[in-house]
Amino acid sequence: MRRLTFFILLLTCATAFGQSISVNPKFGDISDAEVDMTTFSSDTSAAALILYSEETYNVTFDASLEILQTHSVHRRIKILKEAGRDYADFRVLYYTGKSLSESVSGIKVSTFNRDGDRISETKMDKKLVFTEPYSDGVNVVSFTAPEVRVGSVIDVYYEIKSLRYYKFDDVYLQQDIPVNMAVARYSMAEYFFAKGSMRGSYPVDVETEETESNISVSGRPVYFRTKSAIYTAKDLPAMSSEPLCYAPRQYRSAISYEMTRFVYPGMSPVNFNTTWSEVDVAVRESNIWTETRGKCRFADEVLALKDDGKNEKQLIADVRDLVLSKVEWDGTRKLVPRKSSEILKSKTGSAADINALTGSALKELGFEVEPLLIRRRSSGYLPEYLVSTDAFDLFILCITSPSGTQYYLDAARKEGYLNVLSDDFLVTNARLVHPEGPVGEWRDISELTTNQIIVSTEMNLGSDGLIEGKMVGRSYNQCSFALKESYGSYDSPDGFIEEEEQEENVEIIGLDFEGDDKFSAEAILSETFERECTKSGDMIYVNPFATKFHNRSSFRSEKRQTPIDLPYKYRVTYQAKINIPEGYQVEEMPSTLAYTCAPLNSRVQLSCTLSSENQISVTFVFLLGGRFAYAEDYPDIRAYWEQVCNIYEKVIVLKKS
Amino acid sequence: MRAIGLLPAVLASLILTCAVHAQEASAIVRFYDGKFSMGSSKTGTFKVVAEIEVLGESGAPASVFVENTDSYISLSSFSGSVSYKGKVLTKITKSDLSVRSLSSGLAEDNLAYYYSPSAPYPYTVKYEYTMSYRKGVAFFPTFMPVSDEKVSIENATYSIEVPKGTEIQYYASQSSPSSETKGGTDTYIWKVSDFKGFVSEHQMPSALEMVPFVFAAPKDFMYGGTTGSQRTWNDVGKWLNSLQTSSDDLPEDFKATLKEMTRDCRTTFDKVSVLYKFLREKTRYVSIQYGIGGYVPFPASTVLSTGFGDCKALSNFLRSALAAVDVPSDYFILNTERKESLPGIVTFGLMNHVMLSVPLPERNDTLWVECTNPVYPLGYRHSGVAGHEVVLIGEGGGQVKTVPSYPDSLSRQSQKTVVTLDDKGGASISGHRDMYLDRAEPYIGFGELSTDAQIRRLTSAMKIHPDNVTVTGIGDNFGEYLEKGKDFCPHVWLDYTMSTTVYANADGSRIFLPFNPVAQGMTFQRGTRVNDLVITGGMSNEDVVEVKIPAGYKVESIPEPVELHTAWGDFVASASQKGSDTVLTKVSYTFRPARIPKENYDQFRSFARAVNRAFESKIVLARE
Repeated sequence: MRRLTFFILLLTCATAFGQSISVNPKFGDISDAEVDMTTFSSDTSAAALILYSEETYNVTFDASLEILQTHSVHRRIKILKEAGRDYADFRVLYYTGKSLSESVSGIKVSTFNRDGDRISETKMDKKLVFTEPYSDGVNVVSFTAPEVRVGSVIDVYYEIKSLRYYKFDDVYLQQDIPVNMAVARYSMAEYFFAKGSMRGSYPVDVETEETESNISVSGRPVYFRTKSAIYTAKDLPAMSSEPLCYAPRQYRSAISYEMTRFVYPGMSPVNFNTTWSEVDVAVRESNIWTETRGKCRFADEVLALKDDGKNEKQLIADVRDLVLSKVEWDGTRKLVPRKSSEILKSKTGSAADINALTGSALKELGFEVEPLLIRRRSSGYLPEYLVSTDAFDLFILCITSPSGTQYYLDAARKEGYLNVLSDDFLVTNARLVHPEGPVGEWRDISELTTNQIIVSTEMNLGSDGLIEGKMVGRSYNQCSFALKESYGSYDSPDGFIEEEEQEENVEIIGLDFEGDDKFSAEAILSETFERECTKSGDMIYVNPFATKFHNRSSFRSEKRQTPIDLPYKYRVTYQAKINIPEGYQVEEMPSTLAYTCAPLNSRVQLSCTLSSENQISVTFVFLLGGRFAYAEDYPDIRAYWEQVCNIYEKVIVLKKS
Repeated sequence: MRAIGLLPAVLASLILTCAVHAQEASAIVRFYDGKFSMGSSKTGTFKVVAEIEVLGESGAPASVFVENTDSYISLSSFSGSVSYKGKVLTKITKSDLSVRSLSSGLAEDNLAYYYSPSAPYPYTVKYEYTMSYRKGVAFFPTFMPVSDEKVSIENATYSIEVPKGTEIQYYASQSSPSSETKGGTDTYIWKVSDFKGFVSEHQMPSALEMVPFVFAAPKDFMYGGTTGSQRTWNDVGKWLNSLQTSSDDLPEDFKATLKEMTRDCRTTFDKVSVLYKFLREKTRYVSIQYGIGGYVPFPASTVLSTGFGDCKALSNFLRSALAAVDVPSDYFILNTERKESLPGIVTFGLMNHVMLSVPLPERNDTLWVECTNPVYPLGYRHSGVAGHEVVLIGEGGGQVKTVPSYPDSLSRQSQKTVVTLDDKGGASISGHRDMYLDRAEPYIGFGELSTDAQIRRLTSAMKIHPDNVTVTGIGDNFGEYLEKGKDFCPHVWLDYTMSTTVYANADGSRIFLPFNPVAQGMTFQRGTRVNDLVITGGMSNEDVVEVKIPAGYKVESIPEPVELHTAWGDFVASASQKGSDTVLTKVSYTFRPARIPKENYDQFRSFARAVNRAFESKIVLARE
């Protein structure tokens, strides 16, 4: 029989340290030490602690060769504070669809408390297990541990049986509370071939073992080996969500597994996607391909858009507008579009539907259109060795014009433009599928455009300390997307203005926004405003910034565990001219300064000059040249950010002459 | 307790209403007809036909179909369509509806049928469906054809048809219904036409002021195999009490344990304290609502064996435990979101919580005990019950009482912050914060939070970047009820230290100090006010910041004092120099309950702007 191969990537060294508390993993075998502990020395503020966690995936087959996956979960939780009692409630989701049907069974929950000299056990009554619909095709089983108090140890066990034997959810070894010891085990008969990978920054021990197994098939015993891979991690600190991190869970210590093949003697092998080329072929056989590149059902209207006077960008924009005049985006994102006839009939569709219609329309005009599959940043980084069609969340269009210029387009988003996408899509590894030649390739779409904000402001300062000002801000590319998205999130302009007024401490007299209803890479915000300066005796103190571009709250916390993910690189240029009142002169002005931050590849500079007797010129430039930084660099980044935010507090001092 | 039966969940979050012009409407209810037919006291059907036109994206929520079902109410039929420019784009059947649990607790038998239409604007949805009532009708479906802002109504009708002679009661936004008797039925009809819609704004009057609605219920009812009356709260109490006959079933050995625990207690209060502590240590809140169980507490023995229960179960458990040690108490029902009962209607469906009332004859006082959160000090009436009308449930029936409220002057917070400033704008800070009454509630149990959670709660309103935050002391006066009695007001205090590199802006030869970095300003709206502004509860704040300025610097500029007084609020802010090396700022503000007519909103806006300007002003130090 063929040897089973486990292809384990990112093999790490053996454990560097042992767990803080010794546990016996057998259900219900609780020690005095576990019950009597009152605090966890590695994290004294923890409200609860996972003493032991074991998740096992076991793939077996029965006498009729029906393959079944059993996912069992055993967790032992120590309640250290009152807030930790929330960890005594459990909810298990499972699929109910015909082809994906799962079931939850074997639920056992016991709570252990100190009762004088002994440890008492209270078992959960099985009548207190509830099953309810959760969403389409998904149910939830809810249950809770009895007699839970501060100090309790809860042991919980349940199994999920699934016909989707080839799919494994990620096993998270690290959680939002500390973990004393976590084990992930994958056991399969030797006929199953799978590959796994680990992620996270804490050491994980890996062992393998083999046992002899047998089943009876048509009355005859069949012997085979069951091979297991066991991953163990100890003393994992809690990891919670932090700001400026698209997918915090991807940084938790976790194991991912993917089934590649099932080969049983005498049967045709069952292959799952083992290479990206196979994924590409599957895409080409799906609606993603056939609808995006298929016949356009409104070709006549598309052809009528052709005009010698239009450039190719204009033509693409017009095609997009035509599609959106026929189909309204319903706000959803799907990977696979419906058939075009269905989309057009319903007049509403997902982003995939709209992109597919746009693609088919552009092909009528001689553009080459290919789908670009994307796994969003918020879904976690896509490791290229984890091959699966499920890896992707959506697709956009890669358009090659007759002149050979290439553009990327997400037709559904009104805030976007050619090569201007949601920052959640700006990934380094999107998958482009071709019609011929090499079927697919990886594309880096993380830096498609140069993004900037250019603001010019003119302020007239009165001797009463009142500033009347006008500011015009132009945002380009990704900055334009962000501004349009922010503006569009308010029910009315008043809501946007109120937020601006309160953040900038100004009174906005008038506001004009250009670009929210235009498919373009630019947005222009113009404001007229009034602001009071601090005035005391002969002195007026003027802050030269009519608006701020950065917020201290971005890096408020003192410490950080996860890396920093910034949306995109960008540049800000702010120029202000301040006309000072007659009879006043500059007593003090901020000196020219510049700061840099190597981990972010960022720099900032400020200069204030007296451009004439009565006018001060202020120039502020900020450049962010990086999108990613490690948590170790956080103190430097935080300090730099404080320097940047401090610049917005600079004051020009005027004195009556 | 089961969530409010008559009020849709959305009403709990609705606080705003007023009219807008029809042309501003984002959706229009062209037609709504809801007809409830009561077949018998056990059964009924509610048939709805509705047509809504959605004019733009913001009106889309008004077209979403949501109906709740449980073991008494089911969706027995449904059909619908989505049309655009007169053409049907989509036909909707019951199988197109999503079904999901709305459980806010561990488990409930409430399921929601849900459909969210999508089409180009403007589109029209039509729904026609029937809800079937079985096993009893204790309240009729709520009539509220709009619950989203900027949705107008052209025509809406609600009718309740009952067997002739069946008495009903109702509370409605509009005048009395028309009624007719035909054959063997009485029918009550409410009509709404030409409703212009409402606009959401901050601090607005209650939705019940202007949204059309009807709450109605039969005066006598059957429910879950039981019969009852809702003619008076006394009747409601009798019915609820009848459901609890087997709830007090603590085992004898446990009762003996309780007696032993309270053996040395000399007063009723002492006994309550001992058992309240037991409740906190041995039980927790878990909500499980099924069938009539939504109104019946788990037996006390179940709470004892599981260690958990919802508000009904925990209150019943404590009542049973107190009874075992000869302390009488009353289980009572209330609505935590509304102080007064609605006039004209008596039904348990309008209540959403259960607590326990324990008379203390020796102190001529009553404890109003929150059993789901026994960290609240005994003797404190929390913000969800103080001043509320409640119904005590006993063998004699229900008895309406008003829980004493507190004067607004007790709701206050004060902070004293001492800052030692360096010449680079950094500072080390020590602070003391006092919180009283409802202002103390978010800090009850503060010591149990993780360090990160403590820091977030402590610094959330601060404008500075806090480093090295350390809580050096937490205290409270929760044991003072015995001394203070009815005058007891809970008080929590915190002491903390922190440092920051960015307290002030040091630039050149000057340092610019913030006026009040430990507090945030006021929210206001710049556009024309459509609704009156309502300030529901009075409160006051006082902040004192003492800054020791670095050597070699003097005070160059101090903001002028600000003093604002209105009928509903006062604000006083001042800064002064204390000696040669200290600057002192003081800010105090007080708000009183008030209703400010929309025409006077400018005054509120001006007040808020002046407050924010004061908070943003700077004290300027110059190098000597």
